[in-house]
Amino acid sequence: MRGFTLFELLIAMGIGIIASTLLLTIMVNSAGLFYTESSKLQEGLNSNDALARVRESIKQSNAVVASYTSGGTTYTSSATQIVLKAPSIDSSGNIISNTFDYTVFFLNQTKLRYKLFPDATSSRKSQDRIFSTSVDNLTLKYLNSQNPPSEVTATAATKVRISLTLKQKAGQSYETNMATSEANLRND
Amino acid sequence: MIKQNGQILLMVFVALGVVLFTVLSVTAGAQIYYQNATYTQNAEKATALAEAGLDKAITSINKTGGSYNGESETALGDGSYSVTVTNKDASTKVLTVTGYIPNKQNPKTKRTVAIQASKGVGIAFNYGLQVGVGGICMGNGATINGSVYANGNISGGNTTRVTGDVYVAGGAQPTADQQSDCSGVNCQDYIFGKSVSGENRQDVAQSFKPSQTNTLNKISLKLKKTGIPSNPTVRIMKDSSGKPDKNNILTNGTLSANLVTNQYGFVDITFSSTPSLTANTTYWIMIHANSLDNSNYWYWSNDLAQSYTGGQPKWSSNWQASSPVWTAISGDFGFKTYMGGVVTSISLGNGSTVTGNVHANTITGASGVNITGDAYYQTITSTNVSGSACPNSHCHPGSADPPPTVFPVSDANVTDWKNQAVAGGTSGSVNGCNMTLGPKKIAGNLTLGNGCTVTVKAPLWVTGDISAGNSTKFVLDSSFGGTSGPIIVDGTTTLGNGSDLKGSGTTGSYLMLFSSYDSTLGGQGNGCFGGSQSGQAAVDAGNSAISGILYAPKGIVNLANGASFKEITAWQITLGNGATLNYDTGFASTVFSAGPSGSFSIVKGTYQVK
Repeated sequence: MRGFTLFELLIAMGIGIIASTLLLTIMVNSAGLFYTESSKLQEGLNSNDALARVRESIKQSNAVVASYTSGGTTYTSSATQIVLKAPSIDSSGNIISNTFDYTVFFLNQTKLRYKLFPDATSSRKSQDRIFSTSVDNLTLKYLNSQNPPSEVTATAATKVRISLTLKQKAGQSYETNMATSEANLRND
Repeated sequence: MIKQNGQILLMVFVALGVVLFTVLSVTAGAQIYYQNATYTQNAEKATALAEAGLDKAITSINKTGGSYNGESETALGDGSYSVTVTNKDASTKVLTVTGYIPNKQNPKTKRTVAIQASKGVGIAFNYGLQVGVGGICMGNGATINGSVYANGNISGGNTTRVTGDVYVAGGAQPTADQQSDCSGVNCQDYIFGKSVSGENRQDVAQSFKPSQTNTLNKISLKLKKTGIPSNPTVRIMKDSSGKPDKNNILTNGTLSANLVTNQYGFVDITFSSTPSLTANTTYWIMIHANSLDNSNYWYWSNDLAQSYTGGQPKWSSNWQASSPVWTAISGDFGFKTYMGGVVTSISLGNGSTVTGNVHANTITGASGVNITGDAYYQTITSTNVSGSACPNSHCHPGSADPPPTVFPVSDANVTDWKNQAVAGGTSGSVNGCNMTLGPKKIAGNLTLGNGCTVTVKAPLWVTGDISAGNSTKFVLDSSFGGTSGPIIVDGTTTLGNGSDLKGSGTTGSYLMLFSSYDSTLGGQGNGCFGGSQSGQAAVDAGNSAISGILYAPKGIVNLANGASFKEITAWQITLGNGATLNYDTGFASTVFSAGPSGSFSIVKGTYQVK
């Protein structure tokens, strides 16, 4: 048996330190990349789903209404909140004349929330959902039917443009995803 | 020497494992995102395909006279669509269209939309109570529960009450200031809203010179249409070197396409404001069609004789271009301009109250008249506004007169209904009680006893008078489903107490009594209560709760104590002493069934994503 020489030990330690540093760097970078990409993916999916849902609601609506009150809370259409009025449907999926359900999309801190307030005769179920928990900004623009469209008051809108910015911490930095979509009120 | 295992190799494997995990996770994430994005894109494509299918279905229904039954699968673009047509009632079809990506057999994405199409005329009654130039006459103690929009004076006795806002529009002069029309062979169609011989005629305009300096109250244009074009915008513009000045728009209004039929008729248009025009100065009436469409477009009657000397017509492909090109047209378009300047007023007797805002040129009162809201006027006398005489912070002198409103049914609409009635046959006067009538023309009177029920298959046209006893009901036939129908009467109508006009029983269906009787015949004016200027009532509705629509664009409607109704539109409304009038809000969209000549159009408010 003979021990390592000092030189051998120094060489082995040096190699070990370099290998460990490389491994640590790879692991840190990989983890960072993983979190960044996961964050982008989540934001992208949220953004797609949220905008698709908002578009569908706008299309089915008769009008953007100034406000709607439920349970003591008044929801008012503005640049960060939209209140939509859509025809109620019966259990067979047919429209009930002169009866309406109300849908609200609004920003609650960093949450994009969706609430549905059905009429008592409507077959739609009351809903309170969160479409995204990492919203940085929500901007709604109310437009008329002119070409090119002009901005009008919420209640005069025949088209709505929605811009959604999601922001999520990914490692040391923040990932931001911005998407814009438009939809016409088909039942206007 | 001790044999050492490869420590470095182990570390390399760990590192490789981490990298591999990261790469695979990121790749999988990218794949998920790609799939989600593709699905979202395909869902939008499928929705667009379904909506294209709806457009095709409407066109096909109208081309085949209503016999189109849908289609199993039609390829279009990146996918295909299928159409199902079901009959909701006699004149309404439900179109359900599904868009598929890439095809119906193996769809990756599909979306279904549905809409109703009706063979009828959509008419929007935006006001529960709409009154013409004849105004409103209220007896002592009469009450109107709701807001009022009148194109003429409102006159009230003592202790009258209106529990809402009151608008009295600025008055129009009775005859046109400028007008152009054609006759015989000189009448020619001028098509716009369509590309004709390479001309993209999206904008058309006619110039005119008013004979007096005054406000422009309203205009009438002689139009007809093909298909179902959307409501175009009409603008009054200043002149700039012989063409409309895009930077000087005086006012704008919307032409309601529902008032225009496939036969020429003058259609009224009012504006968001009443601009002041200067005598002998050129101005332009400019119509901007929303699109160029080969199936849905407009005609403006053109007088080849060029008998109007105050202006000329022109067309343009884009009035908003940086340097718009306007091309002259030979002829003169059919139009009428009506100037304002006629002072209108609300005049209430002692102790009367309006519990809202009042907008009128002149507000005159007597002792104890109070407006609890704000007053917008040119002149005010003897009226307290929010508790004290003007001036105070609730008084707004110098306010512009409210613009007049257009009645929701045009002469052309009525002509269509009369033609449909004639197609159903003609009979002489009818006397009786319980019966089914229409569609037909009764060349004479319709006389009914007490407690009768008349089932109406609209349109029913009575050229004489209608006289109905107490508690007589007119009911629209159940086959009309969710659509509405009219009874047209040329003479006077007398309904007993407790009478009613009822729809088919389906929500959204109404029976309309349309009286074309002219209460101003014989030079009678708009005085109240049998005065020397008072005309004969077109409709005497008694003490009834009417759930249908009363419509008398040239006539007086008399209402007795306790009358209530859904919707009333009349030249003048008279409320007797102590009468109380209750009404519902207007119907934003009411579809009147049409006869065989009618075309199917989309029923607003019925679009659904299934």
